[in-house]
Amino acid sequence: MVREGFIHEALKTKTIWLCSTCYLCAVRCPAKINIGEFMTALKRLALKNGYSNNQLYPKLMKTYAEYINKYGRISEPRLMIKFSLKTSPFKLLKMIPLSMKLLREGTLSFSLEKIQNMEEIRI
Amino acid sequence: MDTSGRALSYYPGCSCSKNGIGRHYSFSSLAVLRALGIRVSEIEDWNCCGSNLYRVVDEKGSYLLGARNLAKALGMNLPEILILCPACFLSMNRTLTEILANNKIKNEIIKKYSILGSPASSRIRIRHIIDFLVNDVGEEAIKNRVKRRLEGLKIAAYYGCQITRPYSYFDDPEFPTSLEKIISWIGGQPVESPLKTKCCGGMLMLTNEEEVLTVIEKIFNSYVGAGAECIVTACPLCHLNLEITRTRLSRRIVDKHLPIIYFTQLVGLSFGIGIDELGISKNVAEHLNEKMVLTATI
Repeated sequence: MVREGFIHEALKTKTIWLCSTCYLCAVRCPAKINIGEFMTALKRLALKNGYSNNQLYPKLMKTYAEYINKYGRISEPRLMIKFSLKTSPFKLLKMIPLSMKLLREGTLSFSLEKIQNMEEIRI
Repeated sequence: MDTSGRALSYYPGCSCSKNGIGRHYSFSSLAVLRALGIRVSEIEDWNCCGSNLYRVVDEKGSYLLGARNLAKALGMNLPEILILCPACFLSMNRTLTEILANNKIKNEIIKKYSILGSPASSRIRIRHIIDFLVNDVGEEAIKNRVKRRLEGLKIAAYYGCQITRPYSYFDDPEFPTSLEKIISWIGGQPVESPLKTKCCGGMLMLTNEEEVLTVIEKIFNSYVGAGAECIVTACPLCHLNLEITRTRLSRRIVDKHLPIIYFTQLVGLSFGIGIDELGISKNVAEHLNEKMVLTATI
Protein backbone atom coordinates (compact mmCIF):
# COMPACT_ATOMS: atom_id res chain seq x y z
CA MET A 1 0.00 0.00 0.00
CA VAL A 2 2.74 2.40 0.96
CA ARG A 3 4.65 1.72 -2.23
CA GLU A 4 1.56 2.42 -4.29
CA GLY A 5 1.13 5.75 -2.59
CA PHE A 6 -1.62 4.88 -0.10
CA ILE A 7 0.42 6.06 2.84
CA HIS A 8 -2.47 7.76 4.66
CA GLU A 9 -4.63 4.66 4.32
CA ALA A 10 -1.81 2.50 5.64
CA LEU A 11 -1.23 4.74 8.62
CA LYS A 12 -4.93 4.71 9.44
CA THR A 13 -5.11 0.90 9.68
CA LYS A 14 -5.44 -0.99 12.92
CA THR A 15 -3.00 -3.59 11.55
CA ILE A 16 0.15 -1.71 12.41
CA TRP A 17 -0.89 -1.57 16.06
CA LEU A 18 -1.53 -5.32 16.15
CA CYS A 19 2.06 -6.14 15.26
CA SER A 20 3.86 -7.47 18.32
CA THR A 21 7.22 -7.41 16.47
CA CYS A 22 7.78 -11.16 16.77
CA TYR A 23 9.68 -11.10 13.44
CA LEU A 24 8.14 -14.29 12.09
CA CYS A 25 7.50 -12.35 8.87
CA ALA A 26 11.11 -11.18 8.80
CA VAL A 27 12.60 -14.67 8.91
CA ARG A 28 10.07 -16.10 6.46
CA CYS A 29 10.22 -13.41 3.77
CA PRO A 30 11.93 -14.91 0.71
CA ALA A 31 13.08 -11.45 -0.37
CA LYS A 32 14.61 -10.93 3.09
CA ILE A 33 12.56 -7.83 3.82
CA ASN A 34 12.32 -7.17 7.54
CA ILE A 35 8.60 -6.43 7.65
CA GLY A 36 8.69 -6.15 11.44
CA GLU A 37 11.03 -3.17 11.20
CA PHE A 38 8.83 -1.73 8.48
CA MET A 39 5.84 -1.97 10.83
CA THR A 40 7.83 -0.14 13.50
CA ALA A 41 8.62 2.61 10.99
CA LEU A 42 4.90 2.91 10.16
CA LYS A 43 4.04 3.10 13.84
CA ARG A 44 6.56 5.89 14.24
CA LEU A 45 5.13 7.80 11.28
CA ALA A 46 1.59 7.32 12.52
CA LEU A 47 2.47 8.54 15.99
CA LYS A 48 4.31 11.56 14.63
CA ASN A 49 1.46 12.54 12.35
CA GLY A 50 -1.36 12.03 14.79
CA TYR A 51 -2.97 8.97 13.22
CA SER A 52 -3.11 7.02 16.42
CA ASN A 53 -5.49 8.84 18.72
CA ASN A 54 -8.08 6.17 19.33
CA GLN A 55 -5.74 3.20 19.62
CA LEU A 56 -4.51 1.87 22.96
CA TYR A 57 -1.05 0.80 21.85
CA PRO A 58 0.32 4.31 21.26
CA LYS A 59 -0.84 5.29 24.75
CA LEU A 60 1.05 2.32 26.15
CA MET A 61 4.20 3.32 24.30
CA LYS A 62 3.95 6.88 25.54
CA THR A 63 3.53 5.72 29.12
CA TYR A 64 6.53 3.42 28.68
CA ALA A 65 8.61 6.28 27.28
CA GLU A 66 7.59 8.54 30.17
CA TYR A 67 9.09 6.08 32.64
CA ILE A 68 12.33 5.85 30.68
CA ASN A 69 12.60 9.62 30.37
CA LYS A 70 12.02 10.01 34.08
CA TYR A 71 13.92 7.07 35.59
CA GLY A 72 15.99 5.48 32.81
CA ARG A 73 14.27 2.24 33.72
CA ILE A 74 10.75 0.87 33.91
CA SER A 75 8.70 -1.18 36.33
CA GLU A 76 6.12 -3.47 34.70
CA PRO A 77 3.62 -3.40 37.58
CA ARG A 78 3.73 0.40 37.68
CA LEU A 79 3.49 0.62 33.90
CA MET A 80 0.45 -1.68 33.90
CA ILE A 81 -1.30 0.30 36.61
CA LYS A 82 -0.56 3.71 35.16
CA PHE A 83 -1.61 2.62 31.70
CA SER A 84 -4.81 1.04 33.01
CA LEU A 85 -5.69 4.15 35.01
CA LYS A 86 -5.32 6.22 31.84
CA THR A 87 -7.47 3.90 29.75
CA SER A 88 -9.82 1.53 31.58
CA PRO A 89 -9.28 1.37 35.34
CA PHE A 90 -11.83 -1.42 35.93
CA LYS A 91 -9.54 -3.79 34.02
CA LEU A 92 -7.24 -3.69 37.03
CA LEU A 93 -9.80 -5.78 38.92
CA LYS A 94 -9.12 -8.67 36.57
CA MET A 95 -5.47 -8.55 37.59
CA ILE A 96 -6.25 -9.24 41.25
CA PRO A 97 -6.03 -13.07 41.13
CA LEU A 98 -2.66 -12.93 39.39
CA SER A 99 -1.36 -10.17 41.66
CA MET A 100 -2.18 -12.30 44.70
CA LYS A 101 -0.25 -15.19 43.20
CA LEU A 102 2.75 -13.00 42.38
CA LEU A 103 2.66 -11.52 45.88
CA ARG A 104 2.71 -15.01 47.39
CA GLU A 105 5.62 -15.98 45.16
CA GLY A 106 7.41 -12.76 46.01
CA THR A 107 7.76 -11.37 42.51
CA LEU A 108 5.57 -8.30 42.78
CA SER A 109 7.27 -5.07 43.68
CA PHE A 110 6.66 -1.45 42.84
CA SER A 111 10.09 -0.08 43.59
CA LEU A 112 11.95 1.50 40.74
CA GLU A 113 15.53 2.72 40.92
CA LYS A 114 16.53 5.77 38.95
CA ILE A 115 19.79 5.70 37.00
CA GLN A 116 22.50 8.01 38.27
CA ASN A 117 22.80 10.51 35.46
CA MET A 118 19.77 11.05 33.26
CA GLU A 119 21.76 13.31 30.92
CA GLU A 120 23.62 10.25 29.68
CA ILE A 121 20.58 8.99 27.82
CA ARG A 122 19.56 12.34 26.39
CA ILE A 123 20.76 13.49 23.01
CA MET B 1 35.48 -25.64 25.89
CA ASP B 2 36.44 -25.15 29.51
CA THR B 3 34.35 -22.26 30.70
CA SER B 4 35.08 -22.54 34.40
CA GLY B 5 36.52 -19.25 35.61
CA ARG B 6 35.29 -17.37 32.57
CA ALA B 7 34.11 -13.80 33.23
CA LEU B 8 31.19 -12.01 31.61
CA SER B 9 29.31 -8.81 32.25
CA TYR B 10 25.64 -9.21 32.98
CA TYR B 11 22.83 -6.99 31.78
CA PRO B 12 19.69 -7.85 33.79
CA GLY B 13 17.32 -5.30 32.27
CA CYS B 14 14.21 -4.06 34.05
CA SER B 15 12.30 -7.36 34.13
CA CYS B 16 15.18 -9.44 35.45
CA SER B 17 16.41 -6.84 37.93
CA LYS B 18 15.91 -7.39 41.63
CA ASN B 19 12.66 -5.42 41.47
CA GLY B 20 11.42 -6.95 38.23
CA ILE B 21 8.74 -9.55 37.57
CA GLY B 22 11.42 -11.91 36.23
CA ARG B 23 13.69 -11.74 39.25
CA HIS B 24 13.53 -15.51 39.74
CA TYR B 25 14.83 -15.98 36.21
CA SER B 26 17.79 -13.87 37.22
CA PHE B 27 18.34 -15.45 40.66
CA SER B 28 18.25 -18.97 39.23
CA SER B 29 20.46 -18.11 36.25
CA LEU B 30 23.09 -16.57 38.49
CA ALA B 31 22.96 -19.58 40.83
CA VAL B 32 23.40 -21.97 37.90
CA LEU B 33 26.31 -19.99 36.47
CA ARG B 34 27.93 -19.83 39.91
CA ALA B 35 27.64 -23.61 40.20
CA LEU B 36 29.38 -23.90 36.84
CA GLY B 37 32.23 -21.67 38.00
CA ILE B 38 31.39 -18.76 35.72
CA ARG B 39 31.96 -15.24 37.00
CA VAL B 40 29.29 -12.73 36.17
CA SER B 41 29.41 -9.02 37.03
CA GLU B 42 26.31 -6.87 36.73
CA ILE B 43 26.82 -3.81 34.54
CA GLU B 44 26.94 -0.87 36.92
CA ASP B 45 24.03 1.55 36.78
CA TRP B 46 22.58 -0.03 33.63
CA ASN B 47 19.50 1.50 32.02
CA CYS B 48 16.42 0.12 30.25
CA CYS B 49 17.15 -1.24 26.77
CA GLY B 50 14.09 0.58 25.41
CA SER B 51 12.68 -2.63 23.97
CA ASN B 52 10.63 -2.26 20.79
CA LEU B 53 8.47 0.46 22.31
CA TYR B 54 10.78 3.37 22.99
CA ARG B 55 12.11 3.38 19.44
CA VAL B 56 8.66 4.17 18.11
CA VAL B 57 8.58 7.31 20.21
CA ASP B 58 12.26 8.27 19.80
CA GLU B 59 14.47 6.31 17.42
CA LYS B 60 17.77 8.10 18.04
CA GLY B 61 17.19 7.98 21.77
CA SER B 62 16.62 4.23 21.63
CA TYR B 63 20.11 3.65 20.22
CA LEU B 64 21.53 5.83 22.93
CA LEU B 65 19.84 3.63 25.55
CA GLY B 66 21.55 0.54 24.16
CA ALA B 67 24.86 2.33 23.61
CA ARG B 68 25.12 3.48 27.22
CA ASN B 69 24.91 -0.13 28.40
CA LEU B 70 27.40 -1.36 25.81
CA ALA B 71 29.83 1.41 26.75
CA LYS B 72 29.55 0.52 30.43
CA ALA B 73 30.27 -3.16 29.76
CA LEU B 74 33.28 -2.18 27.69
CA GLY B 75 34.38 0.21 30.43
CA MET B 76 34.38 -2.74 32.85
CA ASN B 77 36.58 -4.56 30.35
CA LEU B 78 34.00 -7.33 30.11
CA PRO B 79 32.89 -7.08 26.48
CA GLU B 80 31.02 -10.37 26.53
CA ILE B 81 27.56 -9.41 27.76
CA LEU B 82 25.19 -12.00 29.15
CA ILE B 83 21.47 -11.29 28.74
CA LEU B 84 18.42 -13.26 29.87
CA CYS B 85 15.46 -11.22 28.64
CA PRO B 86 14.78 -11.79 24.92
CA ALA B 87 13.56 -8.21 24.39
CA CYS B 88 16.79 -6.84 25.86
CA PHE B 89 18.77 -9.39 23.84
CA LEU B 90 17.09 -8.21 20.66
CA SER B 91 17.42 -4.49 21.25
CA MET B 92 21.03 -4.65 22.44
CA ASN B 93 21.87 -6.77 19.38
CA ARG B 94 20.15 -4.22 17.19
CA THR B 95 22.05 -1.32 18.73
CA LEU B 96 25.34 -3.14 18.26
CA THR B 97 24.53 -4.10 14.66
CA GLU B 98 23.50 -0.54 13.80
CA ILE B 99 26.59 0.96 15.39
CA LEU B 100 28.77 -1.40 13.36
CA ALA B 101 26.88 -1.05 10.07
CA ASN B 102 25.37 2.41 10.00
CA ASN B 103 27.81 5.31 10.00
CA LYS B 104 25.16 7.93 10.60
CA ILE B 105 24.04 6.29 13.81
CA LYS B 106 27.59 5.44 14.80
CA ASN B 107 28.75 9.06 14.48
CA GLU B 108 25.84 10.23 16.57
CA ILE B 109 26.57 7.63 19.26
CA ILE B 110 30.33 8.12 19.55
CA LYS B 111 29.84 11.83 20.21
CA LYS B 112 28.50 10.71 23.56
CA TYR B 113 30.25 7.35 24.01
CA SER B 114 33.65 7.60 22.32
CA ILE B 115 34.67 4.17 23.64
CA LEU B 116 32.23 2.64 21.13
CA GLY B 117 34.22 4.21 18.31
CA SER B 118 37.45 2.60 19.50
CA PRO B 119 38.77 -0.73 18.14
CA ALA B 120 37.82 -2.29 21.50
CA SER B 121 34.18 -2.14 20.45
CA SER B 122 34.76 -4.99 18.00
CA ARG B 123 35.17 -7.25 21.04
CA ILE B 124 31.59 -6.77 22.21
CA ARG B 125 29.54 -9.96 22.10
CA ILE B 126 25.89 -10.16 23.13
CA ARG B 127 25.16 -13.62 24.51
CA HIS B 128 21.83 -15.07 25.43
CA ILE B 129 22.09 -17.45 28.37
CA ILE B 130 20.69 -20.35 26.29
CA ASP B 131 23.40 -19.79 23.69
CA PHE B 132 26.08 -19.57 26.34
CA LEU B 133 24.99 -22.72 28.19
CA VAL B 134 24.59 -24.84 25.07
CA ASN B 135 27.48 -23.65 22.94
CA ASP B 136 30.13 -22.59 25.44
CA VAL B 137 29.50 -24.50 28.65
CA GLY B 138 28.27 -27.52 26.73
CA GLU B 139 26.95 -30.98 27.36
CA GLU B 140 29.79 -32.44 29.37
CA ALA B 141 30.12 -29.65 31.92
CA ILE B 142 26.36 -29.50 32.48
CA LYS B 143 25.95 -33.27 32.79
CA ASN B 144 28.87 -33.41 35.20
CA ARG B 145 27.21 -30.89 37.46
CA VAL B 146 23.84 -32.69 37.64
CA LYS B 147 23.21 -34.09 41.10
CA ARG B 148 19.68 -35.26 40.55
CA ARG B 149 18.47 -36.24 37.08
CA LEU B 150 14.89 -35.18 36.40
CA GLU B 151 14.18 -38.68 35.26
CA GLY B 152 11.08 -39.11 33.15
CA LEU B 153 9.70 -35.61 33.70
CA LYS B 154 7.98 -34.47 30.50
CA ILE B 155 9.19 -30.94 29.94
CA ALA B 156 8.01 -28.62 27.20
CA ALA B 157 10.13 -25.62 26.28
CA TYR B 158 8.42 -22.40 25.28
CA TYR B 159 10.92 -20.07 23.63
CA GLY B 160 8.65 -17.26 22.57
CA CYS B 161 9.64 -15.10 19.64
CA GLN B 162 12.57 -12.79 20.18
CA ILE B 163 15.26 -15.19 21.36
CA THR B 164 15.70 -16.55 17.87
CA ARG B 165 14.26 -13.76 15.79
CA PRO B 166 15.38 -11.80 13.92
CA TYR B 167 18.94 -12.36 15.24
CA SER B 168 19.05 -16.13 14.93
CA TYR B 169 22.77 -16.69 15.07
CA PHE B 170 22.74 -19.59 17.51
CA ASP B 171 19.67 -21.59 16.57
CA ASP B 172 16.89 -22.02 14.04
CA PRO B 173 14.54 -18.99 14.00
CA GLU B 174 11.35 -21.08 14.05
CA PHE B 175 12.26 -24.51 15.34
CA PRO B 176 15.14 -24.12 17.75
CA THR B 177 16.40 -27.13 19.70
CA SER B 178 18.80 -25.62 22.25
CA LEU B 179 16.43 -25.83 25.22
CA GLU B 180 15.50 -29.42 24.37
CA LYS B 181 19.21 -30.25 24.48
CA ILE B 182 19.55 -28.74 27.94
CA ILE B 183 16.41 -30.58 29.11
CA SER B 184 17.79 -33.93 27.98
CA TRP B 185 21.21 -33.21 29.55
CA ILE B 186 19.57 -32.78 32.96
CA GLY B 187 17.64 -36.02 32.54
CA GLY B 188 14.25 -34.66 31.52
CA GLN B 189 12.16 -35.83 28.60
CA PRO B 190 11.64 -32.99 26.09
CA VAL B 191 8.12 -32.59 24.75
CA GLU B 192 7.75 -30.93 21.36
CA SER B 193 5.19 -28.38 20.27
CA PRO B 194 4.93 -26.71 16.86
CA LEU B 195 4.07 -23.48 18.70
CA LYS B 196 7.27 -23.22 20.68
CA THR B 197 8.33 -19.97 19.05
CA LYS B 198 4.82 -18.60 18.55
CA CYS B 199 4.67 -15.09 19.95
CA CYS B 200 2.79 -14.78 23.26
CA GLY B 201 1.56 -11.35 22.22
CA GLY B 202 3.89 -9.52 24.56
CA MET B 203 2.68 -6.08 25.54
CA LEU B 204 -0.47 -6.53 23.45
CA MET B 205 -1.88 -8.27 26.52
CA LEU B 206 -2.58 -4.78 27.80
CA THR B 207 -4.10 -3.41 24.63
CA ASN B 208 -5.67 -6.35 22.76
CA GLU B 209 -6.46 -8.77 25.52
CA GLU B 210 -9.01 -10.96 23.75
CA GLU B 211 -6.74 -11.70 20.80
CA VAL B 212 -3.79 -12.48 23.04
CA LEU B 213 -5.81 -14.80 25.28
CA THR B 214 -6.95 -16.74 22.20
CA VAL B 215 -3.38 -17.21 21.00
CA ILE B 216 -2.08 -18.35 24.38
CA GLU B 217 -5.00 -20.75 24.78
CA LYS B 218 -3.82 -22.40 21.56
CA ILE B 219 -0.29 -22.56 22.93
CA PHE B 220 -1.51 -24.20 26.13
CA ASN B 221 -3.65 -26.68 24.19
CA SER B 222 -0.69 -27.67 22.10
CA TYR B 223 1.57 -28.21 25.12
CA VAL B 224 -0.98 -29.97 27.28
CA GLY B 225 -2.02 -32.11 24.29
CA ALA B 226 1.60 -33.18 23.85
CA GLY B 227 1.63 -34.40 27.46
CA ALA B 228 3.71 -31.65 29.07
CA GLU B 229 4.05 -32.04 32.85
CA CYS B 230 6.03 -28.85 33.14
CA ILE B 231 6.46 -25.83 30.88
CA VAL B 232 9.75 -23.98 30.93
CA THR B 233 10.10 -20.44 29.64
CA ALA B 234 13.05 -18.21 28.87
CA CYS B 235 11.34 -14.83 28.83
CA PRO B 236 9.83 -12.83 31.71
CA LEU B 237 7.04 -11.46 29.54
CA CYS B 238 6.07 -14.87 28.09
CA HIS B 239 6.09 -16.16 31.63
CA LEU B 240 3.79 -13.42 32.88
CA ASN B 241 1.44 -13.77 29.91
CA LEU B 242 1.13 -17.53 30.43
CA GLU B 243 0.33 -16.92 34.09
CA ILE B 244 -2.22 -14.20 33.30
CA THR B 245 -3.91 -16.43 30.75
CA ARG B 246 -3.99 -19.36 33.14
CA THR B 247 -5.99 -17.33 35.66
CA ARG B 248 -8.59 -16.65 32.93
CA LEU B 249 -8.87 -20.09 31.32
CA SER B 250 -10.94 -22.97 32.60
CA ARG B 251 -9.16 -25.76 34.44
CA ARG B 252 -10.13 -28.17 31.69
CA ILE B 253 -7.70 -26.43 29.34
CA VAL B 254 -4.84 -25.99 31.75
CA ASP B 255 -4.43 -27.40 35.24
CA LYS B 256 -3.71 -24.65 37.73
CA HIS B 257 -0.97 -26.82 39.22
CA LEU B 258 0.92 -27.33 35.96
CA PRO B 259 4.36 -25.94 36.81
CA ILE B 260 5.37 -23.03 34.59
CA ILE B 261 8.93 -22.10 35.52
CA TYR B 262 12.05 -20.60 34.00
CA PHE B 263 14.33 -23.19 32.42
CA THR B 264 17.19 -22.04 34.65
CA GLN B 265 15.09 -22.88 37.73
CA LEU B 266 14.79 -26.43 36.45
CA VAL B 267 18.51 -26.65 35.66
CA GLY B 268 19.22 -25.36 39.18
CA LEU B 269 16.95 -28.01 40.64
CA SER B 270 18.88 -30.74 38.84
CA PHE B 271 22.13 -29.20 40.13
CA GLY B 272 20.84 -29.67 43.67
CA ILE B 273 20.48 -25.92 44.36
CA GLY B 274 17.86 -25.10 47.02
CA ILE B 275 14.39 -24.06 45.94
CA ASP B 276 14.56 -20.81 47.94
CA GLU B 277 17.65 -19.70 46.08
CA LEU B 278 16.02 -20.59 42.77
CA GLY B 279 12.71 -18.90 43.60
CA ILE B 280 10.71 -22.10 43.16
CA SER B 281 7.63 -22.19 45.38
CA LYS B 282 6.98 -25.18 47.63
CA ASN B 283 3.83 -26.06 45.68
CA VAL B 284 5.67 -26.22 42.39
CA ALA B 285 8.53 -28.23 43.89
CA GLU B 286 6.12 -30.74 45.40
CA HIS B 287 4.27 -31.05 42.14
CA LEU B 288 7.50 -31.69 40.21
CA ASN B 289 8.60 -34.26 42.76
CA GLU B 290 5.30 -36.02 42.52
CA LYS B 291 5.57 -36.26 38.74
CA MET B 292 9.10 -37.59 38.87
CA VAL B 293 8.33 -40.20 41.51
CA LEU B 294 5.21 -41.21 39.68
CA THR B 295 7.05 -41.69 36.40
CA ALA B 296 9.82 -43.59 38.15
CA THR B 297 7.43 -46.11 39.68
CA ILE B 298 5.65 -46.80 36.36
